[in-house]
Amino acid sequence: MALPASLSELSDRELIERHLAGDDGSAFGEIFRRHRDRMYAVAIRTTGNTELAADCVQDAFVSAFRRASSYRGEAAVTTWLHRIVVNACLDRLRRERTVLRRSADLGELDLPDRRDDHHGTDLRLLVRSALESLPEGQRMALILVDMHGLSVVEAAEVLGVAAGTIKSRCSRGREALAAELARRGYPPSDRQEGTG
Amino acid sequence: MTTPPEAPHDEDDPTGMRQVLHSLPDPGPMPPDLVARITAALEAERRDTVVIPLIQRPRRVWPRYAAAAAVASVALAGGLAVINVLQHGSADSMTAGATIQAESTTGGQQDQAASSPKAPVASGSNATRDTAYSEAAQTSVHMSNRSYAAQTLALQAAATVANPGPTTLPLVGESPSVGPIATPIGARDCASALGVPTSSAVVADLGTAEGEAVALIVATDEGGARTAYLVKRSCHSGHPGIIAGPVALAAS
Repeated sequence: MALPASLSELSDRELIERHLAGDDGSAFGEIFRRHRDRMYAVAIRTTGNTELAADCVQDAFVSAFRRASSYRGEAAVTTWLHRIVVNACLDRLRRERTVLRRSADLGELDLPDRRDDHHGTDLRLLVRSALESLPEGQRMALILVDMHGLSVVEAAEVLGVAAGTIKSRCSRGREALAAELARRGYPPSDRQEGTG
Repeated sequence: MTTPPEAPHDEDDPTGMRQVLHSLPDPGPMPPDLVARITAALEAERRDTVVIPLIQRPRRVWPRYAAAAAVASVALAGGLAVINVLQHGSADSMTAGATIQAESTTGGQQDQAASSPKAPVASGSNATRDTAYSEAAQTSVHMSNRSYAAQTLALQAAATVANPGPTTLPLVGESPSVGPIATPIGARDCASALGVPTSSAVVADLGTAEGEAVALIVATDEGGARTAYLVKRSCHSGHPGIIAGPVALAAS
């Protein structure tokens, strides 16, 4: 077995192979080190809540560790990880929303109050709030493609749908998002005049 | 990987929303406390895998291997922590490693105590603290990852009770993929859901059945009669999740 110092030189696929062969955990540790920030960002953008995102990304990495044999090598390791993280987030989000709906308590979610939607509202919160109003499929397509920079093909693999579906979801999602933001007063009229 | 993606082209997006979404700030790197938490969870997963082969050794030599496993676990956890720091210079990795090392030491002591199968380990702690801990003291939890089957449950359960292997370490119950049943209190809670009286001793073993994660629960009443159940790992008060059993085991 090569020295642990050489782990950083191995590809993601080689690390998974080494993990499946039964190493001391260092190969998967390297996978975690390489992808943790990106997966955390996906989780934050998917859930919109730091606590939920933390739980989801932990669930996802533990799940990936245990089910590494489910990686068949057809897609990039990062795509496989994206899929696990996104699924963990969506599962958790659906459960949390059910609980919140039952208790009518939105206090735990980092969602902005709609009453605060005015020209001075922070753009991030405004967009986050507007994204929440979109159907899940459109929202995830926009998060992965427009916010996270995945290609249409990669996003299709992550979400388990056809590339054409992602394209149409992005297109319809952008239109819906623009309409929702306009309804909430974005862009501000003074900015529209300035940029026009 | 935190490199921002290439700025999108707007030709195919007359709404301008792609540019708006792309311009939003990155959430930033994973916080160090979360890195440490996940590192510890992954370490717990790895350690579960490492101890499995030791359980299948002949019973006669078991105590010697239990001691070796405890020492190896401590050394490996410490070694990994050092490797983490050497590779990444990460203080949080070292913190996580040190935590695991402390847990491993505790677990090792439990492992040695568990080598006598007729004396369930007081892994809960002080028996006078409260009822829950008193019941937990009569409960031992193991993780053999054995493959159980409903048809052979009685035989397999008897074999597990005779040679249960090391108890689980405290951190294992923290793993979301294993859950509270990996702790004495969680296993006792499951036993209560099965109708096992609090006076009975309980041995729980985490394994699989037809590829699914399950737990074997063996209750021994005050008269020495033993009953086995195969349950889902989600088994808890009010939701036993019985897969097979109850099955009476032959007297030992």
